[in-house]
Amino acid sequence: MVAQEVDLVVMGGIVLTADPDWNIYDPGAVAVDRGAIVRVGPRHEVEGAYREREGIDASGKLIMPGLLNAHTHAPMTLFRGIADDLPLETWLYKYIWPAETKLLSPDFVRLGTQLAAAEMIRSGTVLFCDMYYFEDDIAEACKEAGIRVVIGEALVDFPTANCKTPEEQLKYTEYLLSQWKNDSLVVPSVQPHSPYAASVELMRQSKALTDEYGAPYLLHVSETRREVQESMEKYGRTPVGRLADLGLLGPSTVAIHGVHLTEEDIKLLAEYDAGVVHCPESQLKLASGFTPVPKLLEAGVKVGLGTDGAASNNDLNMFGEMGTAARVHKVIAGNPTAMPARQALSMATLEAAHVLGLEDKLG
Amino acid sequence: MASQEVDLMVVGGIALTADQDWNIYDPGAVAMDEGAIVGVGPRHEVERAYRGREGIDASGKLIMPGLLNAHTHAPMTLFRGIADDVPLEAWLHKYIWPAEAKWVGPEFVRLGTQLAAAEMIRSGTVLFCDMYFFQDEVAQVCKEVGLRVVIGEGLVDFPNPDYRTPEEGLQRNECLLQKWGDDSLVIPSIQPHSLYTASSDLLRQSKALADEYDVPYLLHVSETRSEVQESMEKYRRTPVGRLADLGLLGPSTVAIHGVHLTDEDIVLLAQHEAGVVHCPESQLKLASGFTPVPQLLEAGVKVGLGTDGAASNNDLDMFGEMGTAARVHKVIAGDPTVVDARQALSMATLEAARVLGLGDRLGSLEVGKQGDILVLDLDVPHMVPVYDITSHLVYAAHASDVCTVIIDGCVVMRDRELLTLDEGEIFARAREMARQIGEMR
Repeated sequence: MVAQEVDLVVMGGIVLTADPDWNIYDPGAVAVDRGAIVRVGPRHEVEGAYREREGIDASGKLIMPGLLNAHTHAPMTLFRGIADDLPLETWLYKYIWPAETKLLSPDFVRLGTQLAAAEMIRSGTVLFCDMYYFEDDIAEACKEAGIRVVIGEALVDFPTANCKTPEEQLKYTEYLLSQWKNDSLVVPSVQPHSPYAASVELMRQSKALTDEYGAPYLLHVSETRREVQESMEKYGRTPVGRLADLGLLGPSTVAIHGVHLTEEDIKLLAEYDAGVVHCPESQLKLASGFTPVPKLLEAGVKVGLGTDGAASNNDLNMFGEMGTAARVHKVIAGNPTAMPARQALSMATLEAAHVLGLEDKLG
Repeated sequence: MASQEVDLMVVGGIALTADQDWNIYDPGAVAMDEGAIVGVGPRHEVERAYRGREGIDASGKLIMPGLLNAHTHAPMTLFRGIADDVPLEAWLHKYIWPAEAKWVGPEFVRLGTQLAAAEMIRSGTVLFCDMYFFQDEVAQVCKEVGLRVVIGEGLVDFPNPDYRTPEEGLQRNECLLQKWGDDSLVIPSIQPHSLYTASSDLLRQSKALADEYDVPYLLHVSETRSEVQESMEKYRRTPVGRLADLGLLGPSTVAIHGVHLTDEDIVLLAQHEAGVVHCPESQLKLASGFTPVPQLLEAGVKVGLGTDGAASNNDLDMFGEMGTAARVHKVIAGDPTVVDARQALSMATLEAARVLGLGDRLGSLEVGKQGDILVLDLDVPHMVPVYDITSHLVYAAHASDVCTVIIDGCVVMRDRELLTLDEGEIFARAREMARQIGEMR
């Protein structure tokens, strides 16, 4: 049999596939052609079957899938450490929002994204899901850097540095959806900020866009106790309950954070096949609480990991998130078998891809 | 005025002293002579007063005191990852204890300590407080490597690979006290394992030794809920209450972990000026709980940070401990202002030194203290830009940012190259040891 010529072969070394059967080959190898994996397996099998135009020797090293950061605000690297150890309201109202109002521009966002891209690539992140402003510029910066990104303009009821009205924000989002829909690296999405910062109209209209373009629909949900209390007072419903009532839950819906969830919330998320993003270090640092990951997993809800922005974490390192997630849920459950290492790594690879509707392509 | 010649100058860069007033000089510099700090302050002042026979240029970098790991079991690096995500009892009875019984000996301890030393120096740790067996070997390795260490035989009632009877254990420990009493790098201590593995006699006799030689007295205390329950059932006292009753609490006493503490326990620890070591990542991973750090600090108890052993953490990285400690207590308290970055960094520097009775020698960049100094790279994406260097150290820095480490005025790592350890050889031997251990499993 003549060996087939391919673009790239990485020869190991241990190959940890992180596939559903958790196959590990030692030594293993991966053959890549036209950007896609064409073969993965024991080294001697892959070596004989392919001739590579480029080879990477990973002997004595580990080969694994790239990490997926399911929620961040990349340009906020420029605000890292600007205000820590403060009450959430002081942090937001006194520091972050005034700084954003004053400073945000396409150039700011581009620079912050470049800085974030350097940090993420250095720490093994190959895709990040971003919610911020001027997302078209973020997409451009990622194309140049060659890093994968899910972009989503934060949709809010008030004027932003990028768009004066919700209508403009929706138009901008539709522009992103049509502009980037066939891109190899950039995945457009729809991201209302939250049920408290976006009106019912804005959430509904943006969900219609999601359905039309088949894009993920992400929003911050039940991050703080106060958010849930206010929702109960105003609507007599939890934020997840409201999403269900409004017809906004579905397989493409992703509840970012989902910290303060009732049993019914979890059931609803499972019934509608919605996903959740857990950002352990940010949730600890802002004292919001913890996403009830073991309960969500038991109910069959898809859960991915994210760093959140660098102003509330304060790094974009997914290894840190995996380690913190695996440790924290043990002590919460009072059970050291909760959240084993494999589960934590899955939430940063295949499960994160699942949450973002990209499990066929990534993870 | 002519400038004075000294052994070594580190010229910065930002100098974060981590002293009581949290002085930060930018740019700053540190002058060292005969292993001790003789000058620290603004760069131009230090440069005017001193000339170094050797100089390290830390321009654009950060100069800070070395980190102190207040509790670990260094040789257990050779058991790292051998059994994770299993219940505590299975972890101990099925994996760790049988493996220790079969494998732990002087050679094992030497190799495990060398591996641990490489990891600790690379991550900016300049001193670790160790409880394990064959501590003379641990001390020897640290002397060879140039790493500071507090050694203490784990004193228990039952026979173990190191000694057969508690008396033998005590004798072994007294030899360590005599042998290492005046050493510049090795600090001997007394470390009964815990109140449930050491008899009242052993606890008392070892405390008498600690008092006689004026050394720290450390033991695991109230790490798990079941330990406290059993103590209540057997003695009708909490472990801390028992320590008080037995006359074992004092300024040199250190309660390692101190997770499940009552209000009375905290009052007792404060009254007797005892210290506590918090090991956040191990406490999370073993699901033991959290040391009530904010309450202890409020009561005036000294608290230091430690990694615990590599089999329950699973690394020896104090940057990870600082970050986890600062984050975890916020969510427990429901208050993002508790255990702020400065507090977390203090617990890995000056506060840790105070817990170990070394507050006047270590833990900050101050004239008269030992020359234990780190230089950190700031030219990495997660450290750019800098608004608040203390925040970055706790919430963003990585162990791999440490580029140069000086201990007792001697450079042990320069630009990420270890000068006193042959990593290639250590790794090869550790892998071979793991292969043998793996075969037995």
